[in-house]
Amino acid sequence: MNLDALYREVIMAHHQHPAGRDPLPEVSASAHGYNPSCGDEFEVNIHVEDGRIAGIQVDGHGCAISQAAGSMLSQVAVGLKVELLEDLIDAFRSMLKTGEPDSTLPGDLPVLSGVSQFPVRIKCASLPMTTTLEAIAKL
Amino acid sequence: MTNAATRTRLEWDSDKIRALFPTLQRRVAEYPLVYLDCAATSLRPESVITEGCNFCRHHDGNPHRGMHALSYEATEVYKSSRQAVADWLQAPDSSSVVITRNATAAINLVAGGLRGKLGSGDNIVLTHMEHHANLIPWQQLAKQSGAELRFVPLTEDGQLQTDMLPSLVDDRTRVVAVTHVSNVLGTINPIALFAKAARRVGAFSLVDSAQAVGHLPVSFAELDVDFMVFSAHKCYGPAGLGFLIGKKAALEQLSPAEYGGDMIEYVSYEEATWAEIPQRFEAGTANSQAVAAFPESIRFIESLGTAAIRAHEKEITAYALKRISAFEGMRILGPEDAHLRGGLVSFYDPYVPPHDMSTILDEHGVAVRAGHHCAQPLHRLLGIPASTRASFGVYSTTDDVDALIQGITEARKLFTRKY
Ligand SMILES: Cc1ncc(COP(=O)(O)O)c(C=O)c1O
Repeated sequence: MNLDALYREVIMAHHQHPAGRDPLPEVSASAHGYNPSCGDEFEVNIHVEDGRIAGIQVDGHGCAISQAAGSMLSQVAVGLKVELLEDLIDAFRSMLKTGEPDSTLPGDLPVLSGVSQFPVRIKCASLPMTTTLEAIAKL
Repeated sequence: MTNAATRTRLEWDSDKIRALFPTLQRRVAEYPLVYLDCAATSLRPESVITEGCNFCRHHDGNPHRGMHALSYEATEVYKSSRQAVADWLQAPDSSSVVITRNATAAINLVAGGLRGKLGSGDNIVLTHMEHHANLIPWQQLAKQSGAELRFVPLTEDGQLQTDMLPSLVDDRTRVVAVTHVSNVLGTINPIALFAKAARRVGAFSLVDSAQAVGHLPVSFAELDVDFMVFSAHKCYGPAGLGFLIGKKAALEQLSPAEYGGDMIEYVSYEEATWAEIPQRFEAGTANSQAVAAFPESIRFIESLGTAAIRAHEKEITAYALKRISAFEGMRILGPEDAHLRGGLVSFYDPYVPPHDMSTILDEHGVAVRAGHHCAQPLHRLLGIPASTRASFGVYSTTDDVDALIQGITEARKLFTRKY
């Protein structure tokens, strides 16, 4: 295990300058996610038009890993069909288990594969994803 | 047994003490383990581990249940364990010592035992610094009975506003429950004051001594509370064992909250009568090897003396406070003065989220706790999502604190760089 695998520059950049924070003009569904063991917290709002993600806001606070994961997700979600976003989240979560960078994942998401070496942190990277799935389930 | 009071600080031999703890021999991430999570669970000395194993090897019977030799011996082990706790903490006698799973179960036993005995218009007085263990059982009792929850607020520096007690505790107060030492702020609370306020109005008083026993001199008699709870695993004892100590008159007013074997006297298909106190509150078989091992924890603690342990932890805490607060912008939770605190320091680093801090420290072999430490409302009140906590025990040294500082320095480097 080494810290460089976890705290990659790309991840730190997302942490310091997170994307996807701006409120949406229209919201189709929202969900709130909380990790009671560490205090990571997310509010995810999505706007869906014609079965596609038209807008996403991933707002939250917590550790660098959870915040970076939320930021990365917000950058790739817009324009995707809702089912495709669900598949993408599934693939992302498998990557966290196997640790193999999944180059089919869009944007910066493959960079988070290093989290798999830190089992207690997998929940951090997953939280914005599971919160997004919860919002989708409410559509 | 060594006389605690006569031990001087000069006799404190860290190397000798540390050698008694097998876990300290291991490495984490290629570094020697620096264990700063004593407040979550303390490590156990070899003698305690051996004593638990010896029970399994030689006695191993179910207490109270059989007429054969092993069961008789197990019953004797329970008796002597209970007596050891009573003697150690100056409880009235061994029948005032109830064996539980942990401190949480002990509080639930009291709160559950008061079900049906409170009504709307009654109130329960707690504080803003309680661990969930000393909050949620009372929330549930309040919900079930319609009683009101009241909270003693905090001062700026994380002490309790005890001057509020006269207005909060009134003739409808039924319970006053307070933590002895805060597991987040470290604050040592004036328990006798709370007990007195409760006594004045005929309310029950309960002290959660989970962070005090094994760290400070603690006397049930001196605090003069109705109930005291603690967990063995936080004072160099085995997990799965805790204690409720109660005054006889107070215990008698509790209904049993768990039912089954061992807690009964006469049973028909329709009805049952209860066993005497303390068995009345001990349904089912307990963790026997833990019960057997705990007197060895007491012997270990008393071989150093609680006054000497307190002095040692205070010294380490003062050093940690000085070093941690030297970081620019670092927020220390709780009183600044080590005299007012137990052996722990929680801090909030505005640059490094607690969870990341803990991962980075772990990579340096340093074990700390990150999160809300089972005190979510307190963290919300402090305006922070979580904190990092370093907590100390007999084996802690200033070298441990230096390793912590080194780790924090590395974490800050990583997090204050511009990306
Ligand atoms: C102040 C305080 N009370 C109660 C508890 C609960 O202890 P246990 O989990 O052993 O029941 C703890 C430990 O986390 C604590 O710090």
